[in-house]
Amino acid sequence: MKKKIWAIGGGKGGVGKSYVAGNLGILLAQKGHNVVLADLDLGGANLHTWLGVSNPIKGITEFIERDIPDIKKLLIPTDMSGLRLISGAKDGVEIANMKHTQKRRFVTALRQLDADYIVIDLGAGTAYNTVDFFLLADSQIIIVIPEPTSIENAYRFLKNSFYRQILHNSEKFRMKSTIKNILRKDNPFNINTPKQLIAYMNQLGGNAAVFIEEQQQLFMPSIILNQVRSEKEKKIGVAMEKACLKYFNLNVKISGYLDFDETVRQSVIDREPLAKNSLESVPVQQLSIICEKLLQEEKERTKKNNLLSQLAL
Amino acid sequence: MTSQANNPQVEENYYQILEVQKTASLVEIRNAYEGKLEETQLEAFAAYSLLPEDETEEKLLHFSQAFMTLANPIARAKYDDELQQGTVSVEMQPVTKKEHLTKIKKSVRVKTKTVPLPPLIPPKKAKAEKEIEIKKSVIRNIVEETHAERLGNYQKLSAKNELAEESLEEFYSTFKTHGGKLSYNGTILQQIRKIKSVSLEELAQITCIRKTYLRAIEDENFSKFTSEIYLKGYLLCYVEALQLPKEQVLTDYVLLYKNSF
Repeated sequence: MKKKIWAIGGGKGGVGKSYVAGNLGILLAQKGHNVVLADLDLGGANLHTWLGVSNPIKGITEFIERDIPDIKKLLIPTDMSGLRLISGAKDGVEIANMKHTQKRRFVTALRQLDADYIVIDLGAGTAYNTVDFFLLADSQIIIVIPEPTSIENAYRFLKNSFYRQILHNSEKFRMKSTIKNILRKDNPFNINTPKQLIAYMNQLGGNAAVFIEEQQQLFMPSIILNQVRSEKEKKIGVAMEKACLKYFNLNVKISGYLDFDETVRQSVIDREPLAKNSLESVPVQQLSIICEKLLQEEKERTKKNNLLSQLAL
Repeated sequence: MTSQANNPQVEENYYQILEVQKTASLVEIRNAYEGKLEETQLEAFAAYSLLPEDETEEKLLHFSQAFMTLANPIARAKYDDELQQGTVSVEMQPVTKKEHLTKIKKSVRVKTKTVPLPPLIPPKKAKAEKEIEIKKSVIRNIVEETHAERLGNYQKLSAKNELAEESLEEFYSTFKTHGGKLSYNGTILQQIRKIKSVSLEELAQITCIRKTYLRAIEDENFSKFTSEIYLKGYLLCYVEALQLPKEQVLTDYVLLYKNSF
């Protein structure tokens, strides 16, 4: 099996990214997979604390600055079998401005690890760094809570991600300068949303239309709606799907819901991951459903990609 | 992308806008309106930062107009006739009146038909069927009663609206003479309602909106409303019933609401 990278992001802090990333990692390990949790919440990394690993002495900085060129040496074992950690705890602001080549090298190294799944906990914010790691993943997951600030950040994150994706991929199509021009804030085309951009590219026709069509197909993040307090709030998930299609012309799928639960907060305070000991609890049951859904979505994506590459041959 | 996007000009009728049957009862229409308010609220929330505000406003105007027309027995009957004929024209009015009469006659006949005839029902089945039959007729009676009542209420209201025209003009002109520009708020709405001598109870009956909400509008007690969309949805009905300039009241009043945070 080809190893898979899952990235968990979402723009806003405190919406449960680390909680979901950590527990998904544990659940995957419990299924018998070999899992690496990578804490890329640079500047605010704390997965180690939560997993009971005290003060890691090595982290991503050492790899980026080539002090430790072998990424395997960054792996920190946890007390759960099949689950190891790469910490970002020691890393601060300097590393938060990695070059794209550095990021590529890191992700390439991650893919060479002896693991089935690499779950990345991205930090808050919609800066290039976060967005780039998000885009380099196979499964792109956004955590949202039913609050205007979180929803707003999620859309900003989606928008930036899509823009960043097409900018990265435009080189192959020799369209980098065109895209760069369009993405300027004061662009003369009055393009402010992905939808307008897609429409503009389609209007250009030819290569541009083919390119943008391919980019739309390629972009398929999932949303997890966390801290849901009522049936009414649950409906926000599907409504967000619709809004993404209507205002961005992008396919974003809702992959699941997590009810608000007091025990979640307590588990974070107690540094006792719920998926470790409370398998029967509602939050873990809901996380398991989401985990299955994500695995299923991943299968479908692989199938589709295989089919596409076959057609390309 | 979707077929809807291709022809946005397709005009929906009020029943389609509220997604109710042509035969929908007042309760069904009221619930449909509240459902639409909730839906609009959800959409606006889920599309936070993407959805332009005027789009939501336009939708609300649509829904409230559909609701206020269908909740008003006079307006609804007229609207139904218009629907049937495609368009309205002045010459056709006598015809529509006639049709209206036959409709009423029909409904009366239907009503007498539903009265159960005990001797015809076989004894064994009788009990259950009778109960259903009675329940049905009870519901129908309530609807008929309220229908007649509603008709009366609306006639009374439109008379009051008409009678108050002069005193209302006087009220408006006092603002002008003081040099100030009239800006609608709770107190002014209440004053206008009193000039028209419409009680809150009457207004509640007409708009199908609970008195507490109507009072909250006049008291500017914004905490009563779970969101701006509900406030607007209710305010639009208030304004429609008292025949006030919709857009201006909405703009003035919502500004008050927004500034209250």
